[in-house]
Amino acid sequence: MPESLLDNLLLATALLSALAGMGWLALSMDVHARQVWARAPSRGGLRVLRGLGTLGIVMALLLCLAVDHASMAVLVWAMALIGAALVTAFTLSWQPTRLRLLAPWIRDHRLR
Amino acid sequence: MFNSFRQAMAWLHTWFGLVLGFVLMAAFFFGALSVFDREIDRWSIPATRIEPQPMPSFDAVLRPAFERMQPTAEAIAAMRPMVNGDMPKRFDQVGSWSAYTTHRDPVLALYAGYDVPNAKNPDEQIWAYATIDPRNGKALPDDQLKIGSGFFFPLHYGLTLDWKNLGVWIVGFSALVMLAALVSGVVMHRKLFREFFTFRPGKARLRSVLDLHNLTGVVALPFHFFFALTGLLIFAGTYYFPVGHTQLHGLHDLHEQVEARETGLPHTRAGVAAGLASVDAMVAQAQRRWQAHDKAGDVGFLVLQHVGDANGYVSVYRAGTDRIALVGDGIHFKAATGELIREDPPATPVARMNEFLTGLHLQHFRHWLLRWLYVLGGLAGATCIATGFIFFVEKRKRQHAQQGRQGARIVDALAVTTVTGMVLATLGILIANRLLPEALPARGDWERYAFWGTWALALVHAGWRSAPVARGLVNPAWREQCWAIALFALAAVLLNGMTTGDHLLRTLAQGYWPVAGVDLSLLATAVIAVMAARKVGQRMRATVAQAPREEAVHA
Amino acid sequence: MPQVSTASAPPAASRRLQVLPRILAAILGGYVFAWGTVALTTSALFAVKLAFHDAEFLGALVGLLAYLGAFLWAIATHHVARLWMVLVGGGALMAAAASLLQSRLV
Repeated sequence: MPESLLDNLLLATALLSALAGMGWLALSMDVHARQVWARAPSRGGLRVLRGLGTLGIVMALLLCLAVDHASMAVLVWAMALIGAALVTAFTLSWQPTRLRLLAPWIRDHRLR
Repeated sequence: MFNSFRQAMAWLHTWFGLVLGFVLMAAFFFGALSVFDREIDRWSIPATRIEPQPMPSFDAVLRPAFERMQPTAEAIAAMRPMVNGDMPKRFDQVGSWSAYTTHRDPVLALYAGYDVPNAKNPDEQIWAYATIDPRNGKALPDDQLKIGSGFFFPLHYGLTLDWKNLGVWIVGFSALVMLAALVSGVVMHRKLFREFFTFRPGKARLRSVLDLHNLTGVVALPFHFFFALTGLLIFAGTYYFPVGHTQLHGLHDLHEQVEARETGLPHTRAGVAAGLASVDAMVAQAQRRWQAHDKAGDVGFLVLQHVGDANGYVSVYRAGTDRIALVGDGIHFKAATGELIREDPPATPVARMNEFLTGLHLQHFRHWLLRWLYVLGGLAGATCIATGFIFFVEKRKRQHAQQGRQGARIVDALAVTTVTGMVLATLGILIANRLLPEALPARGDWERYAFWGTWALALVHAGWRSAPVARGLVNPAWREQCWAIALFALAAVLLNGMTTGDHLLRTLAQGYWPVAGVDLSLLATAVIAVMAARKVGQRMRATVAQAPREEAVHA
Repeated sequence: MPQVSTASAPPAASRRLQVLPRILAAILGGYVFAWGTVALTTSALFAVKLAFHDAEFLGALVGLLAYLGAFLWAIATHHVARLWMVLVGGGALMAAAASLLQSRLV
């Protein structure tokens, strides 16, 4: 159970990591990438995003494990992923361009 | 009967989902509320708004409290048919005394089981219950309804329908159907991964409702599956498949005899009177032993078996505050002398899996983030079911309007009752809790009538206002009940402030989160209800204005 | 029960008649099958020296999943007679085997 300020910071970071991970995974899908930018990045670019997504999700698990006993950490992580997926989905529905900040190296293809 | 497996699964999902969905809504919603059951108890019983306490001293506080306990007149009357001959005025042969606490309990629940002389079943016990203030052992009036742990929680697993455990069976069956609905839903949903993040609120109503149904169902799929399965597992041995108590009774008894021999914990009384050594010393020893194993912890459960007998023993269990398992690491002492009989060995791998699965459902751990995430999962489940109802109605509304059928209208009225009506009933009991006179006899019963009465009124209102559905339009009851929810939620917060003085400014300043949390959640409910009411209002005006041609979307 | 042709759906009335035995098989037949699974799993695991409460727990877990499987099969299958035989017959056989094991152990 989280005892200290450090534990709470680690959990907050885990949540952010899960959120970023889910966001990157969504962006790595062609249909959502086109919602966020005018044109989807190349196949290679999408693969990078998918890799980042996996990384974010794994990092979230490691951060959870740093705070709690393994049995609890796994549950916290699994539930955090649910929250992250919901937030990502609703962001895509209502403010898709916000997700651009997850991949600032991808320039908006509409601008020439 | 069906042309394909997928069609069969679609039929199963639609019809069983519809019928049992009404029960599942209650199980999910009140399950979500039960995450904070003890906090709701404190909102509803102002006398208990104190800080949670650790297990108090047995010798100083608990023993006098236990010795004062006796079964109620009702319990004695209920036991009469199970007894041959006279029933004593007092029950003095104590089978067991037990006390249970968690890190969220400000008051302590005590249980006393007494042997019943002349009972038809020699193992029969009669029970007495008490709630005490752990700081001084004073009994709290037991007729105050604990709205969270004593009403919402039993409602979620048994609908408070106790006749022959019918409610537990209904909820159990609905949990099985939930599992079937999840599997059949996955079979039906061809684009599970492609549409993982998809929610298109701008599209035609049928498509956007289906998107939300799929989103809340798929994203939280492991949560929904595990909660339904673990809920069934928790009651399997006692209610659904009591194989060990019936068909395999022989194996069960064999095991108990072997266990009694191996553990040295006597199964029955010796018939010889004996005293009681200092239980506090035994508890202190238990805590030292846990510490020695790197498992320092609080006492979660204290049990005295065969009280007053030479075979009596005391069991001290560690509270599972920091892990998923509920209580464990039991240490057992001889009651008369205080000597150690046994330290429970580490659990077997299967027992650990059991502890994990039941512990993840019953949540006695201390982890506020995880609790709130559980509430999120529960609300996602409720949203999945509610959007399921709405999809069912929307898909058939126009067709039924043209054919003059009432099916969609009836389902819609029932959906309003189960979604907004259920929330209104919840608010109704909280309001009644604040409005009813403190000294009213059977106050708890009146609070329960307020709950069911509000729900019944919501049903009547939903039915009465549902005529437009038969013409293919929206039921105005949705919007009206949303406004009512906002009003009731605000009223509940105001009443708490007015009748107890613990208004939000004070509870936030003092950091008294249980009451502040409930008040803040009520305010959030009011805000969401207003937003929903306005959204539905917009939808209603749009539908009346145009009558759009909706694509008949099928999963 | 005659095989349903895959070329066309049966009329509503006869469909409703076909649905009822299917639902009964899923709920009641499934329960019998699940009970048998729980009983046999519990006694078999106890027989191979697993602790009784562990055997009970695993029996319940396997039994619940078996109930789920039986339920889905009952709705999806075309062969209703075979369905009833397997669920009720199979469940009874498993329960009998469990009692047989018990009589050997006690």
